Amino acid sequence: MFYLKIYFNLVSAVLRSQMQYKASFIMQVIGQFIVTFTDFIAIMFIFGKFQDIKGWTLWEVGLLYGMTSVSFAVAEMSARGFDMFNRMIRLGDFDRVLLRPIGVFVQLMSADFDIRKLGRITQGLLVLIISWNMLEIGTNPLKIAFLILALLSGIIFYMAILIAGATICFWSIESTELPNMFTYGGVEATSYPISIYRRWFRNTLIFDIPLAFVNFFPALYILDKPDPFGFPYWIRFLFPLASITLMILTIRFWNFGVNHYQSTGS
Amino acid sequence: MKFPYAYNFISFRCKSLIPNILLYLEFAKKSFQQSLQYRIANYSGFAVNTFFFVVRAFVFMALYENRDIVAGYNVTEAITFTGITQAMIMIIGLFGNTEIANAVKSGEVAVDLMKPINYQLVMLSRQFGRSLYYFIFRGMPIFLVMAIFFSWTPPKSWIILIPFFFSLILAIITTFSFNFIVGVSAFWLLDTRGISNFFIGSGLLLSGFIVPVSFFPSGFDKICEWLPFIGQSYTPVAIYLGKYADMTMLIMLLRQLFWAIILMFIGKTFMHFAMRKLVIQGG
Repeated sequence: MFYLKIYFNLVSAVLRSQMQYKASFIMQVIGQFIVTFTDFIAIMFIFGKFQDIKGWTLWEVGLLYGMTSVSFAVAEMSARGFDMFNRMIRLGDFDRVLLRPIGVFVQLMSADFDIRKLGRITQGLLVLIISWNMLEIGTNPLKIAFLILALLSGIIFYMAILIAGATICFWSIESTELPNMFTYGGVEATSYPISIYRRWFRNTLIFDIPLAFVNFFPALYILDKPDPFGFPYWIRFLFPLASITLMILTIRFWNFGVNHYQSTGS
Repeated sequence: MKFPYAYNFISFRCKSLIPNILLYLEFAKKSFQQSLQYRIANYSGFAVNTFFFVVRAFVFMALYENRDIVAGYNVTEAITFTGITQAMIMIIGLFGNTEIANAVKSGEVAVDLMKPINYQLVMLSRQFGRSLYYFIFRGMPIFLVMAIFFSWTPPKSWIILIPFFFSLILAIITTFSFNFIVGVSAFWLLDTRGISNFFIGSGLLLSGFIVPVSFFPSGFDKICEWLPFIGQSYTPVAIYLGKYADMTMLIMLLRQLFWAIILMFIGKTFMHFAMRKLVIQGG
């Protein structure tokens, strides 16, 4: 409870500071909206020329796209502190974090809260809602609850990836965009049904970086689609387990990194 | 402190053109060498660009299942389109450039403006230095990945590479001009990230970077052919793939040239007004 209060206090301070430049703030939200909206417009253009991708229609792909975008955008918004972590290490600011009498994890979670990502979230939600309507899934409360749970799992999943990416900075301070492969790249890859990929690539998304669990398999349930690989039916419900397991492993990795931290000394 | 000198430099430049070309070449060389420093960053960037190429190539391969030619493209051409655009991202600087905006924010820009050189051309030279670096160390490797692991379309004749490279250079200048205008707007906006995202977004879509312009709804593709964005990436790729007949190719190249000049001029005018506005406090 104590940590929760600190978290909200710190985040609200960050938000107030971001709101100081109102014009710039509004333009950034709109900018985020536009830059991600072009993504989906491109998909719509493609489906204007091709009617389906391996039996998946535009709005079915829209559901996948919306789920993965919203999850990632919320994760990126709230775990922004981890995204900026390499700079913190490089400048030696992390020493200060270690000296404070609160957990390192909470401090980083609240170090930055990128409210500008609202543009991206809105865009993802819009696509998700339109697709949901076009597919005439209706207001089945079970499916809506299922969707919300899947989104939450997706958020946890992407947060875990962001934190794991930050942890690497304990060993290498040169900033790299390699984590982008798993975040932005993951969003791109899971915007389409994984059944379209070659076997090795698909298996990576199922077994190695199991993004398929928070996106493809839940979507199969929502759309009542048969599993193209013949996995058992219950695999569609495994997503909370997958994301929480990944998060626990990531936190362990993170703690391991913190214990091995050596200051840059500047 | 104001900078009335800036206008004199232009005449200075005209008087001694040859030494100045050498000077700008020096700037290009310096930025090339600077880029060489970030080796690990380049490896990881290469991995990310290649990842995106592979995903997009797979998407096209799945889309083309049971289909032969769609919107004038067959599957190998679509893969080649994806490979070349991914290879081009960093060469043309499609994701924007924060160099100028940061220099304005930190005040460093004052020092650059005091030098007897044309700021816009210096920045363009620096861009060319980076472009050359990324051509060798980012673009070619991605192209090789495509050529080795995927079926791709080689150029129909090697002569086509001449207009291709000409168009690529114009694409670099066009994108640079957009980035320059965005950067200079920092004199008024202070924070350019919003407007930068706007140009990156339109650059990605309207330039026919994500999907070829011929995939656009009919009518819309015709409009896009007249906009400056198409010169950022689609024109060179379409030339490479032989999508334009000789006359059309000439027209597209002239349009690209026209927009490059206009945008450079707009950037120069922006700079002119920024100089009037610029007041450096303290020092």
